[in-house]
Amino acid sequence: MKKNVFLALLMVAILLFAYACAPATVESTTPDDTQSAEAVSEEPADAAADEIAAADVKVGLVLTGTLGDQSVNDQAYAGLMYCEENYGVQVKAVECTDASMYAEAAQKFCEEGYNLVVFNAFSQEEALRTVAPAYPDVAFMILDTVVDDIANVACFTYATQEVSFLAGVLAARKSTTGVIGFIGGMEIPTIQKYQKGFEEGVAYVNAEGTVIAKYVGNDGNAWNDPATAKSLTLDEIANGADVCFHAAGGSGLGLIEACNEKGVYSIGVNIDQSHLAPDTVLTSALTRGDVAIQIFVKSYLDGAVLTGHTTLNCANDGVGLVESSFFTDDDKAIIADITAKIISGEIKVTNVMDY
Amino acid sequence: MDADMKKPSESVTRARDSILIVAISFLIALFVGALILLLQGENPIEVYRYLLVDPLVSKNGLLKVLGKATPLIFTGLAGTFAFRCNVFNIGLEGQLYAGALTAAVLGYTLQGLPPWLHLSICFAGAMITGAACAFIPAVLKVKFGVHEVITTIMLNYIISNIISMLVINYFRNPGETARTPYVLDSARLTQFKLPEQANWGLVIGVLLCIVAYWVFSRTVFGSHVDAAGKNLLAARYSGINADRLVIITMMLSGAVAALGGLERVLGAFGYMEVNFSPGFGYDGLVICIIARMNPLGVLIVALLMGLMSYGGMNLNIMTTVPLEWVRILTGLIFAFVVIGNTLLKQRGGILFHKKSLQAEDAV
Repeated sequence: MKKNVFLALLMVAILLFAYACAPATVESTTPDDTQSAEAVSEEPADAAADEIAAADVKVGLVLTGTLGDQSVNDQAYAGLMYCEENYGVQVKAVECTDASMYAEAAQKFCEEGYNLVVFNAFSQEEALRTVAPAYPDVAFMILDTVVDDIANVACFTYATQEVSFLAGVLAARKSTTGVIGFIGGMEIPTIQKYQKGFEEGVAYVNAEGTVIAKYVGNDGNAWNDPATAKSLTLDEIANGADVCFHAAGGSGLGLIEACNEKGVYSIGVNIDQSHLAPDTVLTSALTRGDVAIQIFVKSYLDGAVLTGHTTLNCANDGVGLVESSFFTDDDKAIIADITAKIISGEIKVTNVMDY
Repeated sequence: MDADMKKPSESVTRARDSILIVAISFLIALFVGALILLLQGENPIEVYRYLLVDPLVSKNGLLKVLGKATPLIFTGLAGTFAFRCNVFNIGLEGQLYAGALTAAVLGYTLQGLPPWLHLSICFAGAMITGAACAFIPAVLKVKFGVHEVITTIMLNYIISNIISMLVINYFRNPGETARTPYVLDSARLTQFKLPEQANWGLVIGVLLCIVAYWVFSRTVFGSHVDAAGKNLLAARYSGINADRLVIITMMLSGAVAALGGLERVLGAFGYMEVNFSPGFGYDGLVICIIARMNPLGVLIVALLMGLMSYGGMNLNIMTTVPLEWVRILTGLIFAFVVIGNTLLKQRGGILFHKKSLQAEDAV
């Protein structure tokens, strides 16, 4: 029996060892971090040197999940890395696997003397509301929701209607049928804001153009149901749509797949989704959390940390379209022109949820 | 040494040996973990400091560990009630959600009550809902012989989805997050220190463990449960109403799991959010098996899990070791403890005396 037990132990040890070796490759990213930190310290940040010594500033980022999601978390991490490389601040991102970790991670950052704590999604609002008042000396920021009643909090929301307008303009220009598809996750103001802006953009180019809008569902699954989104999209394509845009989170993958199958254009959202179907993704309507983090960190280094509500719009590069190989020179010129007009206020895009 | 062979001190030996086996397994796991860390080029001592020691000594760290451990104490204990009776209640997660929603809704809708009454109503409501959720698989098992593992797992999906649906459609607080409104102050289990999660729910959990220990070791009900758990048929022949016992233990299990949800809602958060549980119910199963279904053991193992859980995050912030590594170590510890327990069981619960094996079988 003793022998068997020993064998069993040995096998377990071997298995675990084999398992443990796998993440060793993931590990290799960490030495890079330290290297880049060293690289930065060799060439001191020029912009911030006069206000606050950037090297003493610590920025903590509380993620909503794990890195590698090719979505908001990776985007925020990219923003953080940008700050490390270009401003020379010390950064640390913590991955959270459950909602109760948000507040704990933020508190830990505060206790360790971090100056700035970044939350990257609206789902962390409660954690922010718990922690921020307890640490008035720390500057907090949150993305995608409005928290303007706490003194040491800056919040950022996206002018998604603006980028949707641009997407609508491009969709109408690329469409030959004049019928354009839209898929939303859930019929809530946040998503209707995309739809309205998109419709206005289409109408701006082609007054005759129609937008077929459909929604995936009305429960939490609406953001994670590509199958339904796909069948809705196929339906829209059958009705003549030849460009489709989505604001449906994970469900949107179904739209991109359906468009790819039928060989019509799709437009991604939030991040550049062209890698999902390089031949048919026309562009993506970016909502740039990374820009928000840069703005926030920069404002701290400049000595006047941002608080209150900031809108990420065309003017501050917080939203925008990805320029792809499908863009003709005309397209580029027109998009640039309309962007300028939106910034100047010449074109007013309706915001269905005016804060 | 001879004294160990006698009846009363034997239970002491058993207790000593189960603690010993967990401790030894833990140390072996740490050792193997250290080897892996060394291979990865990390310093194991530094890692273990941030994982196991720093959370306890750093500012507010202990409170965070306690806050993390509290729901696990409830679910671990809930598992114990059912497992003692040899009923595998995998449905703790669903029962936890049911209790959480009941507590949240009662907590914000009932106005103008004194705290003691409001809290009592919330407790009663949560326990009844949790027990009701566990009652269904228990009756299905007793009346129709449907295996509870299947029904409880299925019920987890059904219940947690119904709960999400209810929160989103009926009890939703206006705003981006899918959650209920804040419960009234009269229904709050006060936190020891804001903004830490640890609250009076912890004290209730500890008391429950002590009570459960007393029930299992000192009462007739407890001995009947153990008898039915060891051999259902034999228990029936000896005149124990085993069917009733299965239903009662399942309902108790559901009620305690529901209190775990209540603790999160009324204590840690103050509201119920959709999908708030990272698997407290499933962790509870693991805890109660490692603790060998001993309520006091549950307390210790749950605290250890809480420590590892917060320590993992601490490690993630303070060093460059990835979060995955903590999960590997947790897995290692569980694997070794289960191996150790199996070993111990084969020896009749006594680690060092081969002879007592026969004596044990005779009892």
